[in-house]
Amino acid sequence: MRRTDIIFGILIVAVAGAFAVMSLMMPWYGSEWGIIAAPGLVPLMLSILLLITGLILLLRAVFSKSFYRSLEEQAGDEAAENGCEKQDQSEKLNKEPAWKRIIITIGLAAVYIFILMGRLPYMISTGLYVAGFILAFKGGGIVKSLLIGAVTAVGVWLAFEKIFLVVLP
Amino acid sequence: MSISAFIIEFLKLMTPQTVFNAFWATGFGIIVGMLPGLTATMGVALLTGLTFRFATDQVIVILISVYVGAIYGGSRSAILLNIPGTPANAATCLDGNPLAWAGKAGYAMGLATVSSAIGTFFGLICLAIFSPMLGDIALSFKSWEFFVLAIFGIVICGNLTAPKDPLKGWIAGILGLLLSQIGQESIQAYARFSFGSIDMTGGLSLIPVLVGVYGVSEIIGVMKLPVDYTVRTKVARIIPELKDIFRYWKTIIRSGVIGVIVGAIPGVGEDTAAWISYDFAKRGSKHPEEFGKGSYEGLIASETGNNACIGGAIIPVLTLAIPGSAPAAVLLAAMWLHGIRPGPLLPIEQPQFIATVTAIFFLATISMTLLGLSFVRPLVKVLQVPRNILMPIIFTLCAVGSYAINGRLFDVKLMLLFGVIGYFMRSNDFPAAPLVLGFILGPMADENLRRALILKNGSILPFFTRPICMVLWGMTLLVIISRSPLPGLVKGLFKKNPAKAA
Repeated sequence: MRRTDIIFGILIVAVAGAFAVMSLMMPWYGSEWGIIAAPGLVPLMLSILLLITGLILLLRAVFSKSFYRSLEEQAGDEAAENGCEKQDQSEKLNKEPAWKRIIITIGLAAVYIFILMGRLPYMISTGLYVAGFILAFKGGGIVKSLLIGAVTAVGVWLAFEKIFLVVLP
Repeated sequence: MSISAFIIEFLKLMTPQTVFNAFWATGFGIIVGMLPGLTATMGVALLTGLTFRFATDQVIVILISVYVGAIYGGSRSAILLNIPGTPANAATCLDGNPLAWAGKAGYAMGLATVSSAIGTFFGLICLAIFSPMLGDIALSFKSWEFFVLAIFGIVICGNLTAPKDPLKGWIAGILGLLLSQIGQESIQAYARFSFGSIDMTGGLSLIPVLVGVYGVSEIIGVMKLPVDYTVRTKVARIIPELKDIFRYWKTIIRSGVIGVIVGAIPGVGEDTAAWISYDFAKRGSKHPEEFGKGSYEGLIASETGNNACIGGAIIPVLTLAIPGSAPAAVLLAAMWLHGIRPGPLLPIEQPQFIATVTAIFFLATISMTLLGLSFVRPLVKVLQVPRNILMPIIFTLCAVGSYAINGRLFDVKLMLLFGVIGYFMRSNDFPAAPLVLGFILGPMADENLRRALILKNGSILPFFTRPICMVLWGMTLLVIISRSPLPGLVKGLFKKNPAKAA
């Protein structure tokens, strides 16, 4: 948690800094009301606020070990008390596969949206995505995956383009 | 709001089309709520896009029914799998699952159904009573008050949705406010942070952002889990005995009140309401030792609390245009999309609307109760569909929902981007609710701050001298100070002094 907070702290400070610079580059005296109606006023205020809170997060992650120790103790107590299954506990057992699954999920979605969608007809791109997903996660063989993909694509097309009158990508 | 207005609006809803829409949408909501990882917010956001071409009155019926159904539906998986279907049902696991293991899964589901129905009913009564009252107060809100209210909303939402580390909640809220500034602003029509892109000039659309943060990130979260879930418990008797409900009338009323109050707080949702209701029920119970081991009272408290929260969350939506919870935020966005302008002027522009919403809630409660008590076994079957088949289908629906509103592929890409951002934020304890609330309140805060400054020639004094502003600043400061290290340091000082004296 401490390490990820350091990474998040750096990212937040960088994003806030970039937004602050871009806000300053907007026209500040372009209207009759001057600075008080400037388009950069609110973004600059928010960027500064984000910068401050990001810095607090970063500095706390670097210097305050006791804070993270108390968080861990608190989490331990809650896990003992709570009857619900904890995602983190199972993740500890299978850390690498979890990351693999995340990358496959995001990767397949990215291929569907950035490569297939808009280039191929909707039903073909959707069918391929669904079949690919099922195959990648071992939900069935090639025939079963393609069949589910085809049924999904036709079903979505029928339901939304024909009944809900929604324009499909 | 008079009872006759409610009855008239309810009778107007009694058309075959409306009743059909209410039933299928509630059923859809129950299924979305049941599936671990998919939340009520996702269900409402998904259907906002998919029903974009429907008539406005039918859209409101569908979205409220999904909302009610999903918050209730999560209790199914909490009882059967010990995994809350939505975060709102986490407290239900504690007593629901032990009851299932004791062979009372069906009975626990019946109790959860009736408690949820009572909770929703309690919420709708409060909605009908308090919305017009708050609406009168809201009429005195001007630009100054709206700006301070937005700040207060973010601070309190960040605080309550990230109880262990409110700093992360506040960061998420400020980030949401900042991201909402992308695109053309309202006073000078200047395109902020658009980098010359036409898509960016139009700003980031709310629905793709919501579907991303609540839908795609949840799909990633579900696929990350190493093992699939399986239903191992049997479902027998379902209809609960009335004595088991009436015995806990005090708990029901207490949980209802807590649910409505928590719901009315901006951005704080059903999960917080359920936990607080559960905690209060345990403290007030004659048998606190039974809690966590299959207590009917615990189950009733959490399910009444989370469903009563729905009515509470709609109160600020209708009166102030500020969402009380994440699903209510989507509902607010859907109303905007369909030309309904909730806020202080709503009772003047559409005087019957509060009665209409209350009547829709009542219809959704009836649908939920009937479906909840009658289709128990078929609905449980949904939990047996493997996630590696269900999730890609849900993803395609998310893509359709995001695309449907503006017909831009940019929105689908935006959905995926926010899904990934939302996933990594949530897995590092940055809550999603303040991000979304910030995204909704951002334009309001921006417009009202600059308008207020223009009106008073740049003077910031009214922000601190107007009575409602003073109250809101006072509460905001109280929240920040209570969660900062300052009170601890002061306490420490007072503790050290007697020791020194001794």
